[in-house]
Amino acid sequence: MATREAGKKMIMLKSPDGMEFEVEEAVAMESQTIRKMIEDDCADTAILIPNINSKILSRVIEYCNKHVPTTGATGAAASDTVAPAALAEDLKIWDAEFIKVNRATRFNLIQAASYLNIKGLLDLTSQTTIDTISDNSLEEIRSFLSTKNDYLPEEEQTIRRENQWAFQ
Amino acid sequence: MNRLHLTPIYGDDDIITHYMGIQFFTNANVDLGPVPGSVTREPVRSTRFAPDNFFRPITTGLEQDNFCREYSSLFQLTDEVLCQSILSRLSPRDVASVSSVCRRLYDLTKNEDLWRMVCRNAWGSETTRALETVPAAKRLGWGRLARELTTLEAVAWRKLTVGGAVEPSRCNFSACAVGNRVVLFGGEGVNMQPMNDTFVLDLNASNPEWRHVNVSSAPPGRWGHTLSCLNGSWLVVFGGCGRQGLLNDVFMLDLDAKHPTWREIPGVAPPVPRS
Repeated sequence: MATREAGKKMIMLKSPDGMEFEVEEAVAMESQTIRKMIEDDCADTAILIPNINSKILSRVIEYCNKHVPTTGATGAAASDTVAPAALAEDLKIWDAEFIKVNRATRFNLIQAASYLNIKGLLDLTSQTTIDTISDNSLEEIRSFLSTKNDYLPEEEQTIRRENQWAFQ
Repeated sequence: MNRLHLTPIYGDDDIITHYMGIQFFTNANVDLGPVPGSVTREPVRSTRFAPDNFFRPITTGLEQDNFCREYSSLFQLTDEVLCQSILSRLSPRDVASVSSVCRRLYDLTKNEDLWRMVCRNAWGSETTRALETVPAAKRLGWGRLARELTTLEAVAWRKLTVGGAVEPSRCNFSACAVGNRVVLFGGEGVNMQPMNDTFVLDLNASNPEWRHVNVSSAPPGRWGHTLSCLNGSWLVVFGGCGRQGLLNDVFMLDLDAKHPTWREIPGVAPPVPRS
């Protein structure tokens, strides 16, 4: 959670399980959904984020905090001394560490990133799933998705024939 | 019994500006579910229906059930999120492949909008925009297009009869595609005569025909050269064999310029002359 700094507008984000997070407006606006609410004047003092619990919301805020462009008084000093390439490299390492979470957390982060419309976070969280689907057999994908083959045998054959080109 | 109660709300000049609707439930289990897509703040989401016919604002207590769904499986994500964040980012083959996993994925992959996104990711937005203008592509649909562009199963040579002619006839010319146009430059005529004329065949036309293009300051005649297209409409000629033997000069022409003019591009340390 961010602490209040002079001259920075703060926004209160509330999770439905009753936690409140005070963040800088710039950090909150990493989310296009929240940005739109703020720009449309739909946000007064606090914004309730539906469907995202405090555990996930705090991780989302952590991500936004790291990824917000550093243009502030304190941020400028940091980016002056560090080359943009090094900064990007640093972010990449940080992202790789950030995404080391269990599957359930990752799915919750996907849903949150999608609802809050945070492109970078959505790319980061969905990539592992995309790679898993690309690299594995149907049976392995089923087990990864915790789903079962619910086709009748003859149905499965028809669909298999229909999608034969995918396996060529 | 469930009933809906409507209350009119009046503005300053006694005109009804809004209605407030209240649905009363005697026994219902309302799951407002996950919120799809981009949604501006909706007041209804900050209240909960209670079985005792009253609205209760959300308390800041621990009410985890409907509002804080945990997604322990990818399949608990909404269809929209599954499509936009996962399926649309897969390659065409992978999308077709996952439709064999189970019924839900099969149904999701039958969506033309999804296939459009998949095509855009696979071949770029310029390609999808160009495809949108082709009536035959529209008939096929994005799903089928993705398949045909992947397998190239429908690719076949077809004899095309076009009007006009490249005269005089020649060999050892160079031709290249500029969008849907074919451009031909130079070549070897009778008695090994090097040529320097430019022709265009517009395949977008209803009756395509070869057309001689009047260009200013054409490069010296040549055959066995290369002709390449850059940046959509720039043609680049390199080398070949001219009247005085092998060449290594470079010329450029903007085909879409008002008065197309060949320009020699001087270069330091060009490759040795060749054809």
